[in-house]
Amino acid sequence: MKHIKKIPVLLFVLLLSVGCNQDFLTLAPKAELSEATMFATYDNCKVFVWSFYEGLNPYPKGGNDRKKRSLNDKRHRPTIQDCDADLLENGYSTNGESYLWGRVNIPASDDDWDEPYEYIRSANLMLDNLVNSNMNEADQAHWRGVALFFRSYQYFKLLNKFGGVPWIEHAITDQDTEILYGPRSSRDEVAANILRDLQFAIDNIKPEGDGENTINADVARALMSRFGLFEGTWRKYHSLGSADTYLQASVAASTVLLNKYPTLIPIYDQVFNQEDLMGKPGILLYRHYIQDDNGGHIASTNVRSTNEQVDVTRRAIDMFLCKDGKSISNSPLYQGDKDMYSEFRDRDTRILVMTPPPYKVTSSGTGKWALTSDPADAEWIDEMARVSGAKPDADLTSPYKQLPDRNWSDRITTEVPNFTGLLPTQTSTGYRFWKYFSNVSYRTSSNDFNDGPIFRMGEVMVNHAEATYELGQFTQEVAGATINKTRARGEVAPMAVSEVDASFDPTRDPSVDPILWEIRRERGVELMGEGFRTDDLRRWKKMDWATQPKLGRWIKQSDFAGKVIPIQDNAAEGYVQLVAGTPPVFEDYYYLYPIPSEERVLNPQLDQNPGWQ
Amino acid sequence: MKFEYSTTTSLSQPKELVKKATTRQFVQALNDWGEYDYFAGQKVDTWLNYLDQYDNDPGSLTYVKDPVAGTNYPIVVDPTGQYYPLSESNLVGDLLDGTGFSTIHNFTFSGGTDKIAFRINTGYSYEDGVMVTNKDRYEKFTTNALVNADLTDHLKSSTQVNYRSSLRVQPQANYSEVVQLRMYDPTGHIDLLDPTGTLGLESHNILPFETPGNVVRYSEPGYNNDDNIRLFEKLELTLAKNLTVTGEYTFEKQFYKFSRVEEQTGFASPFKFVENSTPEQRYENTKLFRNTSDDKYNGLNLYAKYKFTTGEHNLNFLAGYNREKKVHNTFNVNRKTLVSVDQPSLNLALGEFDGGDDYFDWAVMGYFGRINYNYADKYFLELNGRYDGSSSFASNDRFVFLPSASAGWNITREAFMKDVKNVSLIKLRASWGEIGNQIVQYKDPTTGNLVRDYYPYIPGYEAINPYWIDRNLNMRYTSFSPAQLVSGGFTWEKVQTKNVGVDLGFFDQRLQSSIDLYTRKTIGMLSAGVQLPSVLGTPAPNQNIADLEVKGWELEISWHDRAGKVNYGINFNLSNNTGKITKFLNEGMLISNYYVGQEIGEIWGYVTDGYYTVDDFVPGTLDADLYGPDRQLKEGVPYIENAATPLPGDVKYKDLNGDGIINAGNSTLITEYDEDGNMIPHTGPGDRKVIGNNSRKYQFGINGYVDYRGFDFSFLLSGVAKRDLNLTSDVIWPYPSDFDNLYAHQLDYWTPDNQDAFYPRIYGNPVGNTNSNYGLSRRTQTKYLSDGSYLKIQNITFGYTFPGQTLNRLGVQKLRVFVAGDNLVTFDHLPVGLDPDQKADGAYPFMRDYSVGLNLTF
Repeated sequence: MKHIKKIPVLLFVLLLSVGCNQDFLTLAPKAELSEATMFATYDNCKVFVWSFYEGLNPYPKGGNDRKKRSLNDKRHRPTIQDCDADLLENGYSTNGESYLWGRVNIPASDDDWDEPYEYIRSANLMLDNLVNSNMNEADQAHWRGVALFFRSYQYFKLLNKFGGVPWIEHAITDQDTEILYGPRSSRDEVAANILRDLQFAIDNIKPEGDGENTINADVARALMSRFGLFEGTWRKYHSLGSADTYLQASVAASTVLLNKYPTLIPIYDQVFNQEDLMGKPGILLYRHYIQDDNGGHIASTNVRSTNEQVDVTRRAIDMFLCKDGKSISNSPLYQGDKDMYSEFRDRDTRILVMTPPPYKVTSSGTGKWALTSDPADAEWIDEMARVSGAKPDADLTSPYKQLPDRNWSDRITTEVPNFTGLLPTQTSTGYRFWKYFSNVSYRTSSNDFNDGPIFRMGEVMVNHAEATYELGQFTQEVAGATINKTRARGEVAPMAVSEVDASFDPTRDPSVDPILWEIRRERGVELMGEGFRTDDLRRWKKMDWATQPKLGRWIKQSDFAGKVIPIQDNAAEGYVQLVAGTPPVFEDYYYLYPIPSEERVLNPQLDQNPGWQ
Repeated sequence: MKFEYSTTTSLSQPKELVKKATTRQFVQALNDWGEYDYFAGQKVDTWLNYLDQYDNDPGSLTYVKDPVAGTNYPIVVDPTGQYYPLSESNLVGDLLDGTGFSTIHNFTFSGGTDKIAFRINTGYSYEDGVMVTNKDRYEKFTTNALVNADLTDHLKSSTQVNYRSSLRVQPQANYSEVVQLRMYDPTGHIDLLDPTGTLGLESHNILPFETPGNVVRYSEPGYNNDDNIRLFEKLELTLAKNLTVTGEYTFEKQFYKFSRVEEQTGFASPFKFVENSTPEQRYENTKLFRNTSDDKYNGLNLYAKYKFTTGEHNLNFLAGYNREKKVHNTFNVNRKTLVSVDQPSLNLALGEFDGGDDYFDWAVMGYFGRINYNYADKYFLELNGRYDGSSSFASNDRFVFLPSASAGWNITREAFMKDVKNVSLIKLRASWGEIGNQIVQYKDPTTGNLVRDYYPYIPGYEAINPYWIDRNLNMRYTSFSPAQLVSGGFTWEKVQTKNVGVDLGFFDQRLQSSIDLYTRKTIGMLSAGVQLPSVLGTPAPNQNIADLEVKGWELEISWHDRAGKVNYGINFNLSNNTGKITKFLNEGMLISNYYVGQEIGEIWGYVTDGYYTVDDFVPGTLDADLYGPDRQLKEGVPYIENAATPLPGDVKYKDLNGDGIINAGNSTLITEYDEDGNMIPHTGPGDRKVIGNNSRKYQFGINGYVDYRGFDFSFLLSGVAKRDLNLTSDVIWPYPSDFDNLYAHQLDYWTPDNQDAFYPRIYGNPVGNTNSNYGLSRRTQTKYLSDGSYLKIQNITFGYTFPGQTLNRLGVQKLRVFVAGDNLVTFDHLPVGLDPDQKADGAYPFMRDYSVGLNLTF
């Protein structure tokens, strides 16, 4: 107790010792990296770059991304994107697509504008910081190339949709007001920059990349093949000049790839229907999906559920050649479209991968089915398995397409065309689109785990055929290295270039050269439902192909008691026409999409694309 | 020495439950809306036929059987294996077992000498929630000890020890799922190999349906353990007369532990009628989660007080120093494939380990001082100042000075008031002051919750798992997201309050009242980002860019009196305020963001102008069902821009800007005009305006009490007189997607035969009808705002205190027993089952509690 008098002294000392301590308030997070550390080494860069890859989405996913954007909206659904063109139709869209019917609203904001700039910022951060890293020049150049690959991928998306956009070369802050509130760069500048950056990527990314399924020089070439064709033909058909520069870049990139990867997966269905695409021929980059760790997709679930109801149009069905390599207008093999069982006979077998062929079975419960007494109803059941390579058994151990068609819970579709049966596999116009149907994720819903191709040689081949044609370099030899390989998977006889003349397909748009028409036909078939078609029509300036009534299967209304199926011209028998009327003439200004209005309010220098107001 | 014991036991029941439509009403509605096929495979016409057969001749049908209960479900299977439910099930009753139960015990003893006093309290509470089983429960144990001692004549100490330990057990099901499930989803079990029990098979596959009640019954709940210890020590030393120095130190440690087993049960889907997973998947995917976290808090206060009195002048001085720090650590791990789910242990699992950790800390430090003066308890003046620093801000922006001052005048103390009768108090008050806020929050994009950012000025790259698979580990890679942008000068948010008030008392304080008027300005709001062009590629940095001004008033009146042996009193309070943004950088006046002049809570929307009717269409362009692919609106009838032509029964909006077209403009406040005075299309707010406000306006409370000869009674009411709510769940809008439900209050929907309906025309298969008119009728609009005002009876209590003489003989000082009801009734304007204080989907039912208890002192 006698020490008690010392307490005030003690308190005073304490007060002094803690009173002015600034360090007490200097705290730092322990689970975050500084910018310097993030890009200091080769391995750190590798870790950072993984986040870029998730911008490569072949298939939609359930739920949202980290920015609360849906991963199952139109932006992520190539099938729905293709409904804005001529070959697919959205069976739910009873009023037609806004884009085709001239009903596009200028959006307040647009994820297609915002999201690319987020990836561009990430890439720019890496590009800006590489010079401060501890890497040698070759390693730095490799990462510079990889960052430029991803940046180009995103700028290409912006260019495709909006034309010229503000070019952001470095990571900027809110203080960089001149750039932030600056005008759009020209289309010429954006396209030239992408070309420059992709060329750097091809020249500097390590040929082997960073291991299995990573960006390597060939993946960069595949993007160049796609971009060069897009920009070259856009410039040609929209009369902008310098088309050949881009077409040549495409051809140069494709040529290397064609020499290195001359083989394709021999069965078309198996490109989209594999549990694992590792090491498969002609697959340059794919997205691997897994059942765990929220690593699945829902492309197959969408096809097998009411999430989506997309049909192949009459126009697309009629595009498939007969096995003799002739168009349906000229081939003796073609048996017409009135009899459903005979319509697909001797046709490009890829048609069966696009839409289930007709059949009838009986079903007595989930997964259980039996043949009918009429053998005609079973004509296509074995043929489907042959074409897809499936080995049918009751447990569906073989993932490839087989009949009967099933929904997500393995309930059997007893009849195709299915206008009034099992709801999730119904069709609105007669040819249900089922390319992404997969039995890999049999009886699991919303967690499909078959892999999705991102860059594949099938695309490079049709790119190359078209780009060489546009440069006047398409020959029988080129055909042999490209579209005759993709056609072979449909069991279609090779194209003899010399035999293609004006009479080859009398339904041809006369403004298109007969050979180009055939090259474009093959592209349409090979890439159907993969999100290319609308952009193809836009760059060819042929959106008028899509602003015509979309038709379906030839039916008799009397076969469907209790449900009215709309038939063209309200006839009792004829082609199904879901959306009444003919869309208005496609306005030229629709070829580019509108800049979101909020961005223009924030930055008055950001001019709207002409025609939109 | 004094002993006190109190206990309360309560029963709770859901106050009101959402009421679903019947199965027949639902199927009939599908038919009315032109839906041929239901998403789960049923044909609507077949379904209606079965319903008729079920009503007229139930014996003619073969039903799905519950092999466990031995009863039939009102469900039939058609020859193709399609299931048709024909009646309602009691999903809610299957999850909630009627009443929740809780009990609280508190035991206190206190005493001491003139130098030392102590008080020791121990408490225990137990709560079994309304869900079936006792898996929905909460247990808490507390002990609190307080010792005050005069160590010497000059030194006093006060010591407190508080300890709290609790366990919350949470089932893996929640009430909102019961609300969402369809009215007919079965609740029991099924044999998936022989659903109707008619096949006489050797083998069976009997599974419970995956309904919330079964999920509670058949899966392990999560266990949340929370332990909290708090130590407080205070020493007060008198250095000289009227001068004391005080030191206070608080230490608090919280330890949290969580454990849960995921996905271990096989269920049958109640609408797919298939097994949700295979036994192999269930074995492989069982997962054990373990999570621990601890929080450590240190707080120190040192201050000196000096008191000075001369004549009627009283002065108090105080000066001190304060610092606090908190450190948080989390560690979590999980592992798949448990060998046995009954022994959830990480060691007894086979799969890969996965886990992570988290850390944050924060600190504040400051100096404070106060001068307090009064003259004869008549005039009052107080000046305060704080100088505070926070770890949330960069070193140059870390400290803030926060002054405040207040003054008061007690008029009743003035000589001239001496003779004024019946006025016992008139006191005028005025104050001005600033307080600081250092808590920076942001909206987590994945969860939508507000989360604190502990280091808002330090750019850091945070780990993420992108959706790209590491082929070696067969899981997602780890990567990093770029650091946030940081802006210099970002510092404390200040809240500046001006207040004037008066306290009144009349009739010897039996009638009391106080009135306050205030203005509260928030200067340099945190967590309000300016909107920058998206080409930036990242959100705008934190800046103190927004100011908000709230003006409001509060009124309180009470009456307390005694009439004979009756004591009684009543108290009424009422308040209101309005907030407006006074500064924000939004030159384009986008209404999606803050703008100057914006009232907090305002709702932008369209003005409903009834439905489109046949009269709006060119004659002959509609068919008998009021459909028509070639329908045409008459000239001059407003229509939504770029949408399909509407149909009768779709909502018509008022064309506010008179251009004949309904649209949202460019979502700004500024409508632009050309030289000729014509509106430039797509400028301004379009046809929207402020149609309501979701702030609580005119909040009020009433409480009162009466006691008489040991009996006591009290009540508490509260309410909000004005509030608009824009609710969007399926409980408000019928059938927003084909996976959704229909509720009993939603049957008044438009059909050609019911054109005066409350709800607009509904189209079958709404999820698929991507560009039907369905969504267009459901924009935020005047007609479908909900009235959020309410009056709530929050508490009523009856008690009886036993008379003293009787008890004293038993050694008891005081004994009171009571019964009480909490949350008894709410008068509101919302559909049954929705509470105005609750989210629109009814996450947990609002509970009504009845309790009995006693307080005993001896």
